[in-house]
Parts: sequence; structure tokens; C-alpha cells
Amino acid sequence: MKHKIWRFLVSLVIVLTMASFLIIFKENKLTPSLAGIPFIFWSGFLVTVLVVFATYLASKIFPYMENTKS
Amino acid sequence: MIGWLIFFFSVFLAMLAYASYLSYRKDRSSDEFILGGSNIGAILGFLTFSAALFSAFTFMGMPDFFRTHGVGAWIFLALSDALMVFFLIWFGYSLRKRAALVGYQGVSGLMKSCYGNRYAGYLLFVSSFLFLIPYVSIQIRGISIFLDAAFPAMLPSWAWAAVLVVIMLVYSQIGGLKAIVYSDAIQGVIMLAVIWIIGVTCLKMAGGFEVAIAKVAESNAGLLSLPGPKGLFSPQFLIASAIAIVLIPVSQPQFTTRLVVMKNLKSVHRMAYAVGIFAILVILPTAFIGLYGSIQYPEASTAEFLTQALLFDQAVPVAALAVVGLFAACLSTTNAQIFALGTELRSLLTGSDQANMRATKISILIFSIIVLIFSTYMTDELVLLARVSFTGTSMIAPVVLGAVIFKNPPKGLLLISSLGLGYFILSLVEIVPNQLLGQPLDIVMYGILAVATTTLMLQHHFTQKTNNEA
Repeated sequence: MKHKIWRFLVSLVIVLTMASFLIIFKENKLTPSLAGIPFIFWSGFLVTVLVVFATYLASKIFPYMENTKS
Repeated sequence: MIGWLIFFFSVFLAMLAYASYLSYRKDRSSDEFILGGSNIGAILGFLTFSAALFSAFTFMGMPDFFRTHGVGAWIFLALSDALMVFFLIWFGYSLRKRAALVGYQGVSGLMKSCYGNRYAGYLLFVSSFLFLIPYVSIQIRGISIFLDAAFPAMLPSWAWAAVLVVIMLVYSQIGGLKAIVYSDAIQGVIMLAVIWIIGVTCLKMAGGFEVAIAKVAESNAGLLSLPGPKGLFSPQFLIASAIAIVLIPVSQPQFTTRLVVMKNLKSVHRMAYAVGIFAILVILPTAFIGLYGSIQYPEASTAEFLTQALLFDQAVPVAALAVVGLFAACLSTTNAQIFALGTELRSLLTGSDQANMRATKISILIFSIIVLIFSTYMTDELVLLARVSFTGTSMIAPVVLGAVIFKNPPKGLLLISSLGLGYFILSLVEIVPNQLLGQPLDIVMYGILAVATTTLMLQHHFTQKTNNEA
């Protein structure tokens, strides 16, 4: 199960990154703004928070163990 | 101001002295000196990693980057850092697994062992030396121009740089990596506190976030979208920056070593997401300072803007704390990198433990002198120079990745990285063009390196499988 979740998280981060750079972060795009915050700033912030949250989840379910005997 | 400065500096130096005292052991081996006993926990690990990562380049360069190029600076650094910490989850595991099998004294030594080839070690060391020296010099240059502008009658900029290097040398030579880790923890906390105090003050002076955004929209709307008013943040620039930053723990030995010397994998993983949170917390206030600068000082030079925003527009105790915070930020990155160069050199040596320890200490002294001299020749483009350093070191990433993935890594990776590194250096000295196929060189080279590395690794994987089956 851990392997599946780990692979899912890796795929999710790759897709999110590609979508962000190729689709979301468009040039000269100011809207939609969020509480006055320009689009690029809030969307960039949101993607950053999502990736850090994915890192937190990945740290909890990482399927491989360190060999403590070596 | 001077009174507050003396007070905060005294407290800061006393803490550094205590860190050195705690770390000093008379009969320590070179392993203890260089690798800090390899039992760094999650909290110390995250603070030392963060302090080494976020430096004068973040503290001074990022506010100026936001002021000049706009909100895309968030994607350039914060999102790239977030991707880097996600990558650390797998890379930390694979690196530690290989280091446990082969033994670890430094990345260069690890490569030499994994490839069974001295050239692999030399390649790593040369790449680190060529690109870390300018990077460290940037930090020193940044803080010295700032202090020189802030206190023009006190000391010339080279003297500020010398003071910083001497302090760094004293405590790193006394306490080794452990002293550096403790001092990084102190410096990380100071840096975060100071940047938030200044960021919030700047935001208040700008009239709050919404008012500030409205003012920027009127005066220079290009700052609020990509690619920024000067067109810097093109998709190619942002993608190439993200790749270079994600590869920092692979190709910059001060970070690689920190991953190996941590107590266990759990600590590495906790450290990874903590660094991600720290990145968000430390970069956000630099956006506030930059926003304020774009309203208040749109035409000022970098040094003028920074001295005004970080010092003269602040309450006196905050300004004094800012000087100490900047000094601390610069010190933590500088010591991490110079010490890493010493570690790398030592990992290639074959003499007795005592002789190696002596050689390492002398090499750290020599690297410091080189950095000090180099810092007087640097320009003020802190962030862009840092990016060149990240890109340069990332050219050897295929070698390190090959070593952590394969038991017997393909030697062709050494050729790929050598060609990449050589071509990138030739472009910096303008012997070859810095564009290929009409695109910036770095993004094209990453594409070529990715294809070549993947092909070679897949071929090697299937060849090994066939050999094992036979």
C-alpha cells in the first residue's frame, strides 16, 4: 500500500509541476486575483504549499527502510 | 545605533563561542571534525540545511529581485525549493544507502569509490571548487557592500569581508562541522526572526498588502505578472532554475554531506519538509520588502535600496538586529561551503588521519583567502550569479545520480558530465555562445543531459540484467 501511495505522490508532484510551468503560469496573466493578490503570486504560493504538503505525506509513507545494521 | 550593534554582536559572538566550546574535543579524529560524529537530529539538521541554503542571496538578493522583476521571483525560488525538498525524500534515502555500503568521507571520495576511478573524485572536486568559490564570494561581497554603504566611515568593504572570514575560520577550525551546525542553528533562527520583523514593518509602511499591490499596479503593473517588467521570468528561465535548484543537494557537497551525517533516514525526511516550510516562511517576507521597495525606491541602486529598506527605514534596534542577521546569514552559507571544499579535498587524500586533518585545516584557510580575494572582483548581481553557480554544479549531477542508483555505475556518465561542465564553462568565458537552437544554453543542456543520462542508465540497467541472468 505504501508503495502505491508513494508512486501516486510522485506522479502527482510531476503532473502538478508540469501543469504549473506549462499551463498555469501564463505570461501577462493578472487575473483571477484572490483578495487583491495577483494570479501568479497566489497560484505560485498555492502550488508551493501543495508540494511541501506532498513532501510531508511522502515522509510519512516512504516505503523503503534504511538498513540500520550496515 | 552603534550601542545596539555592539550589544547584538556581543550576544551573537558569545553564542558562536559557546557553540565552538561545546563542539571542541582535544582527541577527536578527522572523521569527528569533518562529519560531526554523524548523529545530527531532525531539528539541528533542518536548521543547518536551511541556514546553508538561505543566505545573503536570499536576505538581500530576493527583496531586490522582487523589486526589480516582480512576483515571479516566488516561483523562481520558493516553488523550486519546494520541489527540491520533495526530491530529498528519495535522494536522501538512496544516498545514505550507498554511503553506508561504500563508506563516506565526502562526495568526491564517494564517487571515487563508486566508479573505482580517481577521475570521478577529481571531477566532483573541480566542479565544486570552480562554482562554490564564486558563490561564497557573492555572499561575502553582498554583506560587505551592504555594511560599507550602511557605515561608510567605519571600515572599507574588504575589511568587513575580512572580519567575516576570520570569525568563520576561528570557530570552524575549533569546532569542525559540529560547531558549524550549532552556529547554523543560531543563525537560522536569527535570520527568520529578523526577516519577518523587517518584512512586516515594510508592509505596514507600504499601507498593507492590498494597498501596496494597488500602488504597484499603477506604477509598474509588469511586476505583478510573468515574465516581469524586464522579461526575465520566461518559462525557459523558470524551468531551468527549478532544475538547477532541485539538483543542489546532488551537486553541492555542503548539502550532500549534511544528508549523510544525519542520525537516520527519519531525521532526513523530517528535515526535508521542515526546510520546505522554512523556505515559505523566509521567502514570503522578502516579497513584502521587495514590494515596498518597488513603491518607495523604484529607481534606486541595489545597495541604496537595501540600506534604506533594511536599515534606515527601520527602528534603531531592528536595524541593528538586521545587520547582525545579515552577517549571520552570510556567515552560515560561507562556512558551509568553505568547509565543504575542505571535506571534499580530504576525501581524496590517502595519508594518515593526523596528516589529513592538518591538510584539511590548511586547505580551509587557503580556500578562505581565495574567496576573500575573489569577493573584491564580484559584481552586485547576487541572485543571477548564484544561479550560475547552481547551474554550473548541476552539470555533474548525472555522475552522482549514477553512483547512488547503480552498484557499478556506467563510466559513460563521467564523459557526459565532463562534456556538459566543459561546455558550460566555455560559455561563461564566452568562447562558445550562451544560446543553442535559439534557446538559453542551460535549458538546452539540461535537455541533452537528461536524454543522454536516461539512455545510458537504461542501457546499463538492461545490460546488467542480461549479464546477471546469463
